[in-house]
Amino acid sequence: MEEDVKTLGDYISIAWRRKFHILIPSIAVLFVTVITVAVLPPIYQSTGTIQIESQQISEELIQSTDTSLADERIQVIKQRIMTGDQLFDIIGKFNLYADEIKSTPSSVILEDMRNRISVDLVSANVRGRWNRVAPTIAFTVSFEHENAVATQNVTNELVTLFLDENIKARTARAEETTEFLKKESERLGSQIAVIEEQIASYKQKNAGSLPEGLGANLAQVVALKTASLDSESEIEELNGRRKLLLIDFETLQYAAATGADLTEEELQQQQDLTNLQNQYISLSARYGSEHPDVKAIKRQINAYENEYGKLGDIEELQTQEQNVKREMLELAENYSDEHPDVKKLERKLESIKTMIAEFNSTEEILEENDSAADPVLKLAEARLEAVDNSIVRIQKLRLDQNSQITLLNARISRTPEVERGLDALERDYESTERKYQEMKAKELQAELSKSLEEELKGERFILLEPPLLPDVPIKPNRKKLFLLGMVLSLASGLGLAGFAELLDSGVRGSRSLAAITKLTPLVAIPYIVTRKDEAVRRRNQKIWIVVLVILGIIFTILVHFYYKPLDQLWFILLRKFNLA
Amino acid sequence: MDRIKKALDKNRSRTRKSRMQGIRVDNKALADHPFEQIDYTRSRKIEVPQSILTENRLIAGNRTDPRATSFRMLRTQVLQAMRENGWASVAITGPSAGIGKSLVACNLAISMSLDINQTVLLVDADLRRPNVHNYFDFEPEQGLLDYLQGNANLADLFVNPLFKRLVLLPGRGTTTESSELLSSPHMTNLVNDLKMKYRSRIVIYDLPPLLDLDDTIVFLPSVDAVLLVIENGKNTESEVKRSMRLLESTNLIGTILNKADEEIRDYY
Repeated sequence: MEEDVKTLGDYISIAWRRKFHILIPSIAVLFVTVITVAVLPPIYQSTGTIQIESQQISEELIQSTDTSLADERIQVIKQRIMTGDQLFDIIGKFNLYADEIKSTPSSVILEDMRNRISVDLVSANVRGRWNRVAPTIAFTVSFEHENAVATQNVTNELVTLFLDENIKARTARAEETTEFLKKESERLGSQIAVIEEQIASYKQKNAGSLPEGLGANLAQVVALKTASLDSESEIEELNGRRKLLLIDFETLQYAAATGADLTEEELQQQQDLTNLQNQYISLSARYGSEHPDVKAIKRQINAYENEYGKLGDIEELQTQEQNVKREMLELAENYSDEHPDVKKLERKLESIKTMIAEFNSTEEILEENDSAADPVLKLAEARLEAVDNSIVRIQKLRLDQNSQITLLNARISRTPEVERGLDALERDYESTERKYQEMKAKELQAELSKSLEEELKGERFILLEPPLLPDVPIKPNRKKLFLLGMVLSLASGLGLAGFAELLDSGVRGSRSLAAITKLTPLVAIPYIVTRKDEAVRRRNQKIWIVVLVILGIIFTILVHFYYKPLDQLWFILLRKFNLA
Repeated sequence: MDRIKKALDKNRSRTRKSRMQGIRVDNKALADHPFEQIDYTRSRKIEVPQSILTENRLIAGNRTDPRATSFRMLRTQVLQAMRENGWASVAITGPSAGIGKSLVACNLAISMSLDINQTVLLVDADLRRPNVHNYFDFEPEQGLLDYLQGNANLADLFVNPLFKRLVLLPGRGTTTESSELLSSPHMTNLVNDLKMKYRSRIVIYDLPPLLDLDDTIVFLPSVDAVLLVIENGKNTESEVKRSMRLLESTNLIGTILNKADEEIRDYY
């Protein structure tokens, strides 16, 4: 089908043939375009630029509580502003949609309103330090509307909302953070107080066994042991002295007694009595004073005494008492009071004491007779007594010392246990304390950050360029629309012509005929136009022109009287196309 | 089918033979053959001025009209082909109605008649819608149909327009039996008569549409050659192809593209 390739001439002839196909839609579309372009209302846009100023005080000094990206925050604020309530507030305030508000569903109005508002981020072309996204340095808030003044007002309102919302959000966040941290540190503080109290009471409870007292305790034990040893040696020395004094004293006594003419018999009796007494003491020590044997001996003694007066050896008894007491002290060192040996000694001491008491009661009578006792004897006796007293005192001291040592030893042995418990408590305390310190530091930081926000020293939005009253509409771009319409009209005409050509299956041109018949046509005879044809054509042309002119005049008149006077319209058009 | 074809072939060979004789006669004495003279005197003369013919688009006779060029081109080519092959008659048809067959036939006839070597007889063989007389702007008293129905003498039918060497055999009225009439012995006789009697002439038959009626197919075997008129932009490819197939067994001289958009090259 190489014959089907069309030359430019073919196209021109097709275009000529299809001139009505081309012209009618073209003119129609062009007409619609012109009307649309002229009638479309101008839309103004006002834009406010808000700069995002980063924190003025170095972030290394004070970290803001709000570290989210500016973009994110702007989006959040945008969502907050785009809520129905806010938008309807604005709509009401500036009386937008005055005509539509009653007839149009509010969701449609809201949607339209949202479409008119645009928030565009302006980012720096440098790469961010931490992320690859270029940091946003500013953003613009715009609003478009048919009314230039309303555009400016609404944009102003929106910009204000943005600024306010940002401050509100930031301070609220800082406050919340501070509040939270404060509560947290208070909680930790009270926890610390509780632990401190626990430690104090624990220390009080384990006062002597505290690890810090260990050294002192040990030293005291050593000192007490030394003192105890000293006391012991002193007691021994005193005992030695006592023995010497006793010998002196007995000698003197004996001399005195012999001096008081005691018969052999009397001596014998005294000796017996002494023996009985000894027997009694030993028995009563073994069985107690209520034992029949003991009682029998007691009766024997009483019988002796009734017969021979108060006789017996008081010194002997006293010596025995001393001995028993010493034994008891010795025993007390090693045994408790409940030990049977100690009990035995106690009972022995008791019987001796009663005997001495009996003896003394008789002796008092005797002594009155015996007032003329030997002063030397008395002196010896006093000495002996003094030594005895010393012994008793030192022994008591030693006893004290020993019991103290026992106590201290017990305390020392408990010390490690106490130390463990105390350590646990202290560890608790330390960790809580550390947390508390940290929290305190954070709280302080938050407090700083809060004041940073409150004094608007943190990252903030600054109105860089307030919305201006737009003087030139941004939409519609009438020139562009018109050009577009022209292209469209041409395209529609050509399209229709092309379509008609496509549908037309008629053979056209000698070449295609030759291709079909494989035979070159003998001739191509043109359409023979007669003068009549010509005349008809001219008449038709004239009719068309007249009709068009009349229509044009009617249209113009209609426009003039029903739309706008022509002179005004002319200037409006000039302005709309930016020609005036 | 076979029978028809045989008959057709027979017919064709016969016409060819007679045509050969005719041409020979032609070459010997052309201008003043007594028979022709008589014809002219007997035929009805009509005086339609060229201006009216031009209004009826018969411009071939107007030498100053550049549009006549294409018809002269056609004339020359057709005459050449006919002379080469010794053909005496040519039929003009087209795939459909209203594509200018009659106009082409008239103009071609005029153009041929202007050549002093030729006398031309144009027969309006469209029995349904005869049209030729409209172009020449006269009302025939009797037409081909009357003759075929036996209501007229052949000699009374001829009409001589302004052009000296052109005779018309117009049509008149209409019939529904056109194909029967065209294949009738009457018609065959007429064709033979025209061939025999007017030997020095070229006979042009204006035929009805090829695809709409069977008239043409029936009649075509009676003529020596065929011209196919195609209207530019109107006849579709399939119509053209069908026509070409129907004309396969005839001597198709060529096609004529009518109402062409192509520019006329004006040398004058």
